[in-house]
Amino acid sequence: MKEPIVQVENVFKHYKQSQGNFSGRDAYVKAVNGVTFSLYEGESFGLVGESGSGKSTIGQVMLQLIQPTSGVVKYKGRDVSTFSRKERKAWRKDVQIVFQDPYSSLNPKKTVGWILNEPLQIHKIGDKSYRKQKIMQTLEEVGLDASYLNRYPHELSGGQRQRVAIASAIILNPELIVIDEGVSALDVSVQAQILNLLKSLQRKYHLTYLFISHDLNVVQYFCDRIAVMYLGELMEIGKTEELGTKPKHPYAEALFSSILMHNEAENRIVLEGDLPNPSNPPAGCPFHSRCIHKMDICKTTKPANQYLGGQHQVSCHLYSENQSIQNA
Amino acid sequence: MSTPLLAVENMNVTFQFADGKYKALEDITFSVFPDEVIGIVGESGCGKSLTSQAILGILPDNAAVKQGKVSYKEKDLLKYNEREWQQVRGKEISIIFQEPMTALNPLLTIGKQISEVLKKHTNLSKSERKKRTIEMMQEVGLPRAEELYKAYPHQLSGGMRQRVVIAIALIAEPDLIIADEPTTALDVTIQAQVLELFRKIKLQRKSSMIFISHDWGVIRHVCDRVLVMYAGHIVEEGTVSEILKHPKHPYTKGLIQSIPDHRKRGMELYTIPGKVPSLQERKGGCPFADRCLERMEQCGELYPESRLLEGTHAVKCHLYTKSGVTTS
Repeated sequence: MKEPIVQVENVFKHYKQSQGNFSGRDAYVKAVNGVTFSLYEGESFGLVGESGSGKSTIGQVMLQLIQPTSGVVKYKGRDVSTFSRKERKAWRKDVQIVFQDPYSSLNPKKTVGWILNEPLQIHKIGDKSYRKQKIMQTLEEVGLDASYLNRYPHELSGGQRQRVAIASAIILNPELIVIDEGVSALDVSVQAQILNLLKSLQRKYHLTYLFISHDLNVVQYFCDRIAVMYLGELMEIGKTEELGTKPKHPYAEALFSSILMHNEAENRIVLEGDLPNPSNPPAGCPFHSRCIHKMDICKTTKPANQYLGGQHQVSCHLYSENQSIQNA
Repeated sequence: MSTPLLAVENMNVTFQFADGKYKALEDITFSVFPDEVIGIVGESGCGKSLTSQAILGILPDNAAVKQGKVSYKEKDLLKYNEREWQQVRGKEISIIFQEPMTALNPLLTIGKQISEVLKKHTNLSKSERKKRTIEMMQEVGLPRAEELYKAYPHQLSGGMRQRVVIAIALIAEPDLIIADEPTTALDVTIQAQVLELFRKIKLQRKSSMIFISHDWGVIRHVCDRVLVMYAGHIVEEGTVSEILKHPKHPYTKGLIQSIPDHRKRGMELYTIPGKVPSLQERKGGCPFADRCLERMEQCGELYPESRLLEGTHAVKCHLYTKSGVTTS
């Protein structure tokens, strides 16, 4: 097995919610509730879940764009919160992020050339002529050319903007890129172009991707491993071929059965109810309120993480050892 | 075959901009039969929503139907004045929009917004209206209907809001429902619930539907027939299973091939070169000619006539016109 490039260990992120109530007690939105996983070099790791499941928060905690309430993020074995200022700046070059909406992530008042020059300037890389050459090279790499240098983001189509966002992410030769719903806003034909681009860049530069998406078709196509999140917790992690075809967790099962392109209507599992409010998640297993296999233990006790052989992990009482003994 | 409920014939819609007039829809011809759910699929900017707006007479101020006929129950809707329109919208034909938060009035209760349709279109008394509204709310799967009757839209989740919008569209028992990306803004498991509701409506109510979506999975799940739109034209139509299995138009083929899924993992995705042309960039001839890999000499000049291949499967492409030459 390769070395993990990132280890996320028991990370919590709770947001204080100003309620304006008279009880004087603060409410907390439990965006991430004890999440542990590792990213290995050169892999595409998919993080799926519905809105409010905490997937974007994980991506941002991983890059230290927000601080976790508790828990540790390690980069190549070292706790990133212990980095000195200098180390942190150097590390920032290695880790990049591409957001969903390039309309709001690119500065509308700056040209594409300026946007791509900025990271090089901040990290004092090369002289002017080197930077120019590097910008040109990067533009070509993402399928654009010199004619884009003096254009502004509003002059570009959605796909072109996302290419610029990718260019600004790869220009510092990073090792890890978080792609947060990076292709979700694009039309199918453009989405295919961007997915191909990301794959070819990954092969060329041996990039590691944390690929956050709600689109299961895209994740199953793109990722080597998939983690399924629900209400701030990981329900299941496994290789795409295992998890995608034979999900174990009842939530993952319902999620993957809802892929409409290949599943017949009668095989689909339609969950009842809405996602509970993350400031007041159900006790015990967070999914028990919607689970069709719910047992008594699920309402009171949080299931522990179980290994199902290899790297396949699931958090569900259906698979816990005690439970199987009780059933037997 | 029975007489169509709605027949759109050779409809053109033109936008008036400061720099001139641009054709946004051209040669739109299709029929919706009783009990039929017809899908309109295509990428953004292809004219899917504009088609539904033209049918309902709710085009933007700078757009107008320049040519063609829209017959509903054999009456020409385009000749209707605003007074006559008001008798049609909501009662005969209703529409469900993508974003329920903008479709609902934030200042009025759910009950008031649903029962308003009855006030407008029926002679029911106030208490009868309330009774009918609560029945309707239960029918679309809104829990605790009595209680929610007095709730405001912001108190509801996205999935519940969309159920309210659907209740508004259904309550006057229209014969034709237009649903414009009704599940696009919803999470996967909530989308599954709402699609189930549409299937139920289809089975129980026997009303016809026009279902607009960019998502082939959704189309496959709900629709009987589908129209594929590209750059303001219907380029192909037929039964959903026929089009998915045997797409004929190079655009349809490309669109279906570029959808990612787990079976294509590790392979490069098929992409359609270029992007959808803007209104200003559109030229004569086949609208897809510039991006088509099977382009022939006449494609740049001659507009391909619609050709019926078999059953209801029709395509507008010179590859399928007799000996590659149009007859008109």
